[in-house]
Parts: sequence; C-alpha cells; structure tokens
Amino acid sequence: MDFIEISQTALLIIIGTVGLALFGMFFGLLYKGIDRKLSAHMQGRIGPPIRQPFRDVIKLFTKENIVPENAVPWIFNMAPLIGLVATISILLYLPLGGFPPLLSNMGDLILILYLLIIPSLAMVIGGFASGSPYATVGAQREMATMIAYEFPLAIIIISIAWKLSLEGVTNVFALSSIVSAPIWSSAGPIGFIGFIILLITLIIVTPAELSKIPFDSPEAETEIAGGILVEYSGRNLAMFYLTDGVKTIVMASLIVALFFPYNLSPLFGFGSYPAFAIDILFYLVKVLLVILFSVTLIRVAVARLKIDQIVYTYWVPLTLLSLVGLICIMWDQTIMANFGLNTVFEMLGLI
Amino acid sequence: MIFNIPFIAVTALVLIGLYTVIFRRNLIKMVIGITIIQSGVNLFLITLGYRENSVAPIFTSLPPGTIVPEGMSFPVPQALTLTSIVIGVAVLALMLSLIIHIYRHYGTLDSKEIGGNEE
Amino acid sequence: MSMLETLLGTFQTGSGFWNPIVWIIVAALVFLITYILRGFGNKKYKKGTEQVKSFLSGNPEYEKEKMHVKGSNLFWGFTESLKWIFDILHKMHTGNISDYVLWFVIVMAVLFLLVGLM
Repeated sequence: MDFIEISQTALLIIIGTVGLALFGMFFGLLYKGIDRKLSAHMQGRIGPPIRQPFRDVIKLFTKENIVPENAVPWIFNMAPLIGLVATISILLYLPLGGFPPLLSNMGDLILILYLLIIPSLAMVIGGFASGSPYATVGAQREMATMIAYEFPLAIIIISIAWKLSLEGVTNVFALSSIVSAPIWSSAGPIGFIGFIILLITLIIVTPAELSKIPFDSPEAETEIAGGILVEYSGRNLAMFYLTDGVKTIVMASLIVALFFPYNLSPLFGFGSYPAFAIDILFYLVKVLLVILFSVTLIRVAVARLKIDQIVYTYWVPLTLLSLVGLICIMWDQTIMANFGLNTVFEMLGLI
Repeated sequence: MIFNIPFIAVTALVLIGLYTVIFRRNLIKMVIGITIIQSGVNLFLITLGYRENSVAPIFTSLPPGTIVPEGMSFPVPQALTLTSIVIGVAVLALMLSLIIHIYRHYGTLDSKEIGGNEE
Repeated sequence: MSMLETLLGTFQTGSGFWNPIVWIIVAALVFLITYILRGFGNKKYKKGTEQVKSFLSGNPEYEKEKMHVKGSNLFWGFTESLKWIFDILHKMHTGNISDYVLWFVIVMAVLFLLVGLM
C-alpha cells in the first residue's frame, strides 16, 4: 500500500472517529431525555424537557471537581475517562444507520463483548478508589451483577453465531456477515420461537448492562446513597453520565444489528443521498423502539431487586430460558434438514 | 504364580497404607501410612521392569551365556525408582516439619481436634 | 520480518477477526478527544476543607480499620443466592485429610468399575 492510500484511510478513520464520538454523545443524551419524558408521562407527571440531559452535562462541567481525602487521586480521575473511551470505541465496530461499520474487517462481535465489560469495570475501579464504604459496597454489587449477566449474554451470542455457521456463512462473528444474513429468513417455525425467546432474554439483559431499575442496585439512590458515584462530582460525574448515554446507544444498536438489520431504502428504490437519509431515520426509529421496550417500560413497571435476587434471576431462570431457545434452534435445524417444511406443517396439523 | 508375588505385595502395601491414612486419627500414623504407600509404588515401578529369567543390567562380569541386551532387565525403571525414593524422603521431611509446627500451635496431634475452616 | 507482520496485522480466527494495533490507535485518538472535552470542566476544588471528607450521611467517621469493608464480603450476593449449593459443599469440606482420601478412593473405585464394565 503506498503512502497516499494509507493517509487517505487514516484521514477517513480520524474524521469518522470524531464524527461518531459526537454522534454517540448527542444521540445518547437525546434518547436519555426522551426516556425521562416518556417515563414521566407513564407515571402521571409532566417530567423535564427533552433538552434536560444536555443542560445537566453543561451544569456538571461548571461544578467543582472534588477529590476526597481518602481517595487514590490518579485512579479516581482516570476511571471515568477510560470508561468513556472504551464505550466510544465500540461505536466504530457497530453497523449504525444501515451503513457497514467504520472498521469493518478489523473487529468482530467477540471484541464488542469484551469492550462492553470495560465501562462497568471502570465504574467498579472508580468506586473502589473513592475511599468511602458506600462506594465499596456499590462496587461489590456491580461486580456481582457483571458476573451474573455475562452468562445469558454469552449463550445468546453463541446461539446466533452457531445458527449462522450452519447456513454456511463465513466469519460468523463479524458483524458485517451477521447483518447481511438476517437470522429470521433461515428459521422454521420452531426456530422462530427460539429466536423470540433469545430476543426476550437479550431485552432483559440490557437493563443490567445499563444499570437501570430493576437491576440498578450498584447505583441505588435510596439504599446506599448513590453507590459507586457517591464521591464523584463535577467533570468526572459528567464523564460517567455521558458513558451511560453512549452505552445505551451501543446496546440498542447491538440488538438492532443482531435481530433487526433490515433497511428501508430497497423498498423505495431511491438514489444515494435520499437512501442514506431514510436509512438513518429508520435506524433511529428502531433504536428508539428498542430503548422504549428494554429501558423505559421495565423501569417504570417494577421495583428494584436485591443483589442476591439479581444473581439468582440471571443464573437460574434466564440461563435456562436461553438454553431452551438454543435447544429450539437446534431442533429446528435437524427437523428442517431431515424433513422439510411441508412435513413440519403436517406434523403440526396445519395442512 | 510365583512371579505374581511382587504384585500381590504391592497391592497389600498400598491397601495397608490407605487404611492407615483413612481410619487413623493420629497425624504421625497418617505420615507412616503415606510412607508405606510410597514404598508400595516404588516396588511396583521396579517390578514392572523385570524380564523373565534376566540378569542385572551391568556389563562387567556377566554370567556366561547371557544374550546382550535381551537377557538383561530394563535399567530405566531402576533409575527412576531411585529418583522416586529420594523425592519420597524430601516429602517425608517436609511433612514431619509441618507436624512439629502443628504440635506447637495446637498442643495435640489428633486430627479431629485440629480445627477445620475457621473464619 | 514475517513474524513482525503477523504481530502487527489482523488476527484471523476461524470465524472472526481482530486488529489490536488499529484499536490502540483509535483508542488513543478517542482518549485525546475526551481529554479535551474534559478540559472544558472546572478543575478546582477547595482542598482541606469540609468538602473532601467522605459522605457518610452524617454518621461519625471511625478509624480506617473499623470502616474497612472486608474482601470476604465481596461476593455476598453470590453466596446468598446460590446458598443451596454452597451449604452442601461447605459441609463436605471438613478440613480432615482422612475424609478427603476417602472421597479419592471412592471416586477411583467408581471409575475403575466404569472402565472395567465398558
């Protein structure tokens, strides 16, 4: 590769990174505001305006950045930065807006799974470095929650990759191949039920990743006075706030990319720029629907669970549910391969 | 049948050693049981290296008429058994020194009175 | 030279790929962006005043040994929720070596029987 090509791709990557960082932060805060407004209306009050998270971040930037005397200063100041850096760097590997990812052949789903651990780990380290007993208890709870929800998440990812590898797709963990081979088109009736079960499990895993009610005992405001974030203030707290917003976008984009990767522009048959605009709008609508179902609805409906209830919920019922989904997909493969669709319908009594 | 006696001896030694470790409560008796198991295993190792009607694998002053090397027993198990005996001695020394420390700390050598997991 | 290329190139597993050098470059770039963004904030605070004491909801602060949350309490959520397994395992671990050797002999006997019957 000669110098001009390398510099062109480097410039593209730099501009794309800055653009995606701004995109992630802007839409993360916007969807946070929409989520607060909708949950307020569901609870019978009016709620803050949609621009409120932007005002929150600007206000936090003007406050003082207090480092407590029991804290370890360099870890205390470094942890929010590392969380935000890792979360924004995931955006480069996800297919946003119907486009292929920016670094499309340099990172796959396993990398995204690992990078999703880093923001929660940054909160844990920041909590331990705060030097306050409330923060220590919150960090312990966050570690237990992390261990709990990784189990069903791993089973879901592996089921989807296994199903795609049976279809003959190469590079099953790469997101560009997952997007180009949607899983609904290769599933029979039992596989359809299996994938619905996996979708429900992933929607229940999402609030735990984002630390929302009912799984937000690490940041319980009413029990441990703020938990992990009790000693954070000013610009460090603004970094954690932004991390939460961007991580919401990341998780919702992951669900959209795995389960609903369809675009709208082939239906209309437009040219290049209107097709891009329609694709981006459709993607934003899909992300809004996913956030509505996985964050807002569950948040206003239930109360907070205790930490041993959270661990039990993820390790016993949800793991068994995702294993049932995996078994449905496996049965579907053998039945469809051996018998074919007509025999299945005859067995089910539909013909 | 007479050539099976070493194997029967090995089984007897290992079973006696296991009985002592499982069913005796004094720590010194457990150590003696472990040593008996070690002796049984060493004997097993040597017995496996025997060929029928063979002589010791030493080249000087062989009895006349021995076929070399098919008339000699295997030398490698004998070397490895020497190593194993030395390892057994080292482990025995370590176990006995730990028992001296336990006696100084607890005042008794009864394995039921030495505490289990204490928080 | 080819080892350097495999070290700096894209790592291909059978079913995915990853390039660590590109991630490090991108992460450094994003770190720069967030550092500049953080620089818009206020970095001053009043040291040595009431601000920097930890927040304990008005309770008095004892010395550090009494306030310390132990490491053995770390996984309380885990052990409490999986209590039904951990109680059985805790009772099995008596600390007595005779019991452990007995378990060893029983499992070896079962394995020998299984291997012999197949």
